[in-house]
Amino acid sequence: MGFGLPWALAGLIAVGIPILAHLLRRQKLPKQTLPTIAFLHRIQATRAARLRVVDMLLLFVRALLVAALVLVAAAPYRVVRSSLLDRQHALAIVLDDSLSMAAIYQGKTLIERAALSATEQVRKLPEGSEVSVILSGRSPRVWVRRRSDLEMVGTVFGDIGLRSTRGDALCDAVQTAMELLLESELADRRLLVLSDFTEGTHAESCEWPSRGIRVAFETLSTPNPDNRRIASVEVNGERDAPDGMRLVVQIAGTPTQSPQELRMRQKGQETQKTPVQRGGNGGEASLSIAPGSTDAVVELQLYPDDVLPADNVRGVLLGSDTVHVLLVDGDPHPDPRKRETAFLNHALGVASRIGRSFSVETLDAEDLSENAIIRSDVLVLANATLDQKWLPLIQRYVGGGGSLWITAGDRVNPRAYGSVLRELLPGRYTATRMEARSLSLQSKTLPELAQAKVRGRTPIAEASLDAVVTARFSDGAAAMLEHRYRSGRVAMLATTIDDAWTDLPYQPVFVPFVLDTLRRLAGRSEHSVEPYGTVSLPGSTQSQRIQVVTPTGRTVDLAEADRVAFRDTGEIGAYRVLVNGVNGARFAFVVDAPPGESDLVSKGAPDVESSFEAVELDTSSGVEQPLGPWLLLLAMVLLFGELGLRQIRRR
Amino acid sequence: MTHVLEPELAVRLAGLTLRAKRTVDGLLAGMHRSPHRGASAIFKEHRAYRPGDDPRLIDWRAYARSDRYTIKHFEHETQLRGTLALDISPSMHWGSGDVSKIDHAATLLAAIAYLLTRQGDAVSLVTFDEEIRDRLPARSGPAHLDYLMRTLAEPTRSNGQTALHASLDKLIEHAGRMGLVVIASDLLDLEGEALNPIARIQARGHQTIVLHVMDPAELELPYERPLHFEGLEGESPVEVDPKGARRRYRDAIDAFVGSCQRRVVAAGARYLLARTDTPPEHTLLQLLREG
Repeated sequence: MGFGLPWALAGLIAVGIPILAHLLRRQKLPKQTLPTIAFLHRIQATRAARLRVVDMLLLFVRALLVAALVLVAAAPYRVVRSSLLDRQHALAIVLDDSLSMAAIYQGKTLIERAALSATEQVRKLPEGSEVSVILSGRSPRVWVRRRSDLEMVGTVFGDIGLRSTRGDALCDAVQTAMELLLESELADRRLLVLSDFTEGTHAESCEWPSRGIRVAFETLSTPNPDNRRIASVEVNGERDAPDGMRLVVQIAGTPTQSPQELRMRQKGQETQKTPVQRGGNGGEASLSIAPGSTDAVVELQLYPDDVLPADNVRGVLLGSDTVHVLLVDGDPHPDPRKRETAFLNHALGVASRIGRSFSVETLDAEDLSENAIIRSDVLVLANATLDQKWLPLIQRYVGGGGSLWITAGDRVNPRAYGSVLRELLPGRYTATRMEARSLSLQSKTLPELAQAKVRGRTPIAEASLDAVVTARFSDGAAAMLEHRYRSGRVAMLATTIDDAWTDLPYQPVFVPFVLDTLRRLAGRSEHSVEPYGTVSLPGSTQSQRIQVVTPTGRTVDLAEADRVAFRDTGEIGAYRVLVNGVNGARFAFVVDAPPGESDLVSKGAPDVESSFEAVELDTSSGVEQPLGPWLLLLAMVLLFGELGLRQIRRR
Repeated sequence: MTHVLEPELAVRLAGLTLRAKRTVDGLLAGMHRSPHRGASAIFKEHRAYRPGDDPRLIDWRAYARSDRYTIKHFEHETQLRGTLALDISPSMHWGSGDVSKIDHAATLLAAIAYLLTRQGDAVSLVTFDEEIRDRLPARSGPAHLDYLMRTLAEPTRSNGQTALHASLDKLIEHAGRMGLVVIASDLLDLEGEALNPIARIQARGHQTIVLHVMDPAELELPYERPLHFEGLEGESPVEVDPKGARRRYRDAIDAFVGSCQRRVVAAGARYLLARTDTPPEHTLLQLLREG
């Protein structure tokens, strides 16, 4: 027997109240001597005896009533010692299938061992029991939802992936399990948690059930785990430098005397291997990448395997300083110097001299191609109103991580941008107007913009909530507006990028203004993705085939769609994206092993203090049966008994 | 040894004497005829001489007239031996008002003693609870009366329970033969044979009077609120709401008083209920009138 709220038992002191009242009532009667008391005894003999009995019963009942109410408040429960075999109950099995559970012990992963144990538990259940299975690797999944077909449930454990790469979400899984148990109509509810309870599970911070659900733990772990991992990779040097790039790799984990080596794979082919130099905290190795390599990503693997091979792999994004810019000229001119993009091209040409690398492609609006768009980092629409057919592609392109810079001009049709690309843009172009007096530009990051004078503009209105004004006109109106759209960025300039409406291109600040804007727009996320995390990619179209090559060399064709949320990221390592068979460096990404999952040392099952001790799995252990309703019933009976006894006493 | 009369006792004694005298004053003095026939101034009858008669009692004048030996019988007055028995058990010391039962009983007995002494009778006194405590021999005269009054005013302290049967049995020995025995007690000995010795006292030729001394509160249980009742002779206490118990209590008390009366009368003695709220002279007057 136990109590959900044991501190409430302090209220048992209140049992003394009726006893005290009884004693006080007896003491307060005045005394009177009477020689003929024998006659009172004679007539009171029966009555006094009856009253004495009634009084004692009243006292007993009142004390019991108080005690019962106090006990109800203390939420008592009874642990019914019964075997799993002898009664039906609802069982929720939380099976940890995080990466750490993929550790191999005696030829089997811990997940496999947990699955076997769970299968055995289910096999022992009496008919009519109800089983739910929740996998606690991130994100938690309900593997079996309240099924009474125990034979079927016994088979589903074989379908669980034995070599998980997932992070841990034990607490969320426990919460889900409790919800499923509470849905059950069976009063006997149990929660069985099978996990290695390593640091990464954070089991001690979970909200464990305090009442009505009995919890049992089974700890599965690898004694003396031998595990190492690639802790970090530092990329040094430039892709185009004479010495190429150098990768400095740190190895962490259990020290070993066995020789270790690091292997590098590029485009799925092993290209290098180097021994790991043992160091204080693990080891270190260094690899080099030849100059001129076009790989956006490489993959490293530590050999030989240890108990957890999954974290021996790591993808490395090599990155690229070159920003691919596609300039779409909306006002083409035979004389290159008079084109809308002439000043842009000039500014980008200067970039290489100041140490910045841009790859520029200029197209007239009517020469635009899907391939050109998808391979660029930044698409600049300079005074261009595009054909409607390109607008969905541009939306998909930006959603998938591309960036768009729209500059104003006499060919810009505000209505066209406002209707089709409204969702995409940080604001809405309004009617173009020429200013009677020139305006200047103001920017906190580039104060020199104040030197430029603007005579005409297409004002931007209705800025979106997340829009950032990076430059303003001297009258306070937005001159340059930027915001994020899904994975990409979009910027709008309210005046021309040539000298039609402004003298900005003639100002020294024009080059840094253009380069900073393009670098900012081309900024890529270099964060790794968690296993089974979502990556936003452009989908395949009729003319463009987008494919993802996973670390194991598996090729996934992306469906035809504007934008694909790619979730097949269960493998740890480097993912390459092919655009019509060619590497699309801009889309490459890596999936890293979840942090904390490489520590295989078990901390043991949490100490669940609420209602029962944390126990090793014990099929004969009891189930918690609440006694509150019964005590409440008893209290009611006692209350009626008390009323009855008072009536008897009065008679 | 110098006997100093304690002030409290003096007050009690003076009060008792005063009450006794006042009780007697105004009452007719009762005269007792001796049951013994013999030489006396009062002629009773003539009868034929029978052998064994004292020859000195032969009436020679009657012989001269009738030539038959005739005995002249005189009814002679004799000194009465009165025995007063006072119950001094703890229950007698209780009273709901100013007067305790023992005070009332003592007043009655003192009045009777005073009356008897005035007539020249000898009076003895016995106090008892579960046994005889004080024992004053039968004497007459003012000095003895004074001594008796003093004993009545300050009887031996008793802690024992009332044990009428044993005490009255011993009273028989003390009373001698053919006298007046007055017993003042609350008779709170509920043993079935408690009053049986009265019949034996009667058989000895005594005229027995039982003064059943009761407090009105004992008879009526006049209390209103629940009380924790305690006894005076070791009875266990009891909590009673008098309102609810009064009727049955009175029935029980009435039955007890009636039972005592029946037993006393059946033994040939006289029974008189002496309530402490009834003036003693009324009780004594009733006693003399019916005597």
